[in-house]
This record gives sequence, C-alpha cells and structure tokens, in this order.
Amino acid sequence: MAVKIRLRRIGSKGNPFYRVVVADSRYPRDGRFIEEIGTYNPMTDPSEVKIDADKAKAWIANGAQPTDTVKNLLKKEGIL
Amino acid sequence: MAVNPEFSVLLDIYGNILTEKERSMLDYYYNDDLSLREISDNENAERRERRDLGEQTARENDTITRQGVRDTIKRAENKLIAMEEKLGLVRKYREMSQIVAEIHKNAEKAAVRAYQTRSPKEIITAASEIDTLAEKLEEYLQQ
Repeated sequence: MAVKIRLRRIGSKGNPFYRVVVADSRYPRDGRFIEEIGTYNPMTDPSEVKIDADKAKAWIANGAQPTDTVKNLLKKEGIL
Repeated sequence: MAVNPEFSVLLDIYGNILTEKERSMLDYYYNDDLSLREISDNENAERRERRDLGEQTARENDTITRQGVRDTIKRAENKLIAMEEKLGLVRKYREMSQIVAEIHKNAEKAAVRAYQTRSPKEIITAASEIDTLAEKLEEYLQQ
C-alpha cells in the first residue's frame, strides 16, 4: 500500500487550482487524503507554489512517492 | 509533466463531447494526478468487480494495459484540441471572464461613488443594477 504525494484539483470551472496532498494510492477518488502539504496555482504568472518543505521532506524520507508533476514542483522550489 | 492545466480547462469546457470512459480517464490523469499505471489498475479492478457481480460483457472480460490507457487519453486529447481549434470556446471564455470581472469592479466602484457623492437616485440604482448583473454573469460563467 503505497503512499503518494500528488496534486488534486480544486478550483472552479476554467480555473484550475491544486492541493498538494499525501494520499494512499489505493483511494484516489473518494477525496480522502492523509495530509495537505501545499497548494499550486498555475493560473497566475508566474505560477504560485506553496509547499511545506519540512513536511514534504519528512514524507519522502518515510517512503512517500511524489508523482512526476509533484517532483517537478519540489525541484522548482528547491526542496528536492 | 502529467498534470496540465490547459487540458484541465479544455476538459471543463468540452468534456461532454467525450465518451464517459475518455472523460473519466482524462479526469484521473489531469485532475487527480494519477499515473497511466494507476488508471489502468483502477479500471481493471472496476471491470473485475463488475464481472464478479455478473455484469459480464465481452469488453468487461478484457483488461486494459497502461498503453491502452495512454492511447485513450491521446485520442481524447486530440478531440479536445480539435474542438478548441474549431470553436475557440476556451479563449472566448477566458476573455469573457476578464471582461465581466472588469465590469463588476467598475460597477461596484461607480455604485459606491454615486452613493457617497449623493448622486441622483437613478444613477445609484443603475450602477447597483449593473453591479448585480455582473455578479450574476460571473456566477453563471462558473457553472
């Protein structure tokens, strides 16, 4: 049972906005997640990333797998 | 990068022209940040469940591969791109949203100013009316 760090979209029609969440990979759809560790707003220029670096590092150290998208954001923020 | 806000918006606007399967796979891919592997695993688990419930059809008997999911997503993306090329609704939607937001902002300012400067009642009423209508339009665009 893998734990993943992934984006989950919120935000209204035509206005994507994402939460960065730690979630069990087995329950992708029921909206459940273990913890929210940040947000990503791609609609601003430049896009706005807010991630709790300590939490992200702690989760990764404990074996949580970031998705490619999250990995990119973490790199961009200098967390990875 | 899997999550792509541009496709997310295309899906918001044109999602209804896709098949249910295409729509749900794009939704998983762009809005839930699932990998192709996770989407195919979920889809296969769902088919297995339906099979166990006795809802067996020829297609439910198959399993879908990661590559199969990829092909479905690619095909759906091409449909969305073709729609935007023909209709340009995303572009129009964006422009319209910006214009409505501007109208709203200005109407609000005008209404407040008209009130503060004790302008004639019909000017205050008209400005408030524009403000309310712009707000309604904004809500309408969000639906």
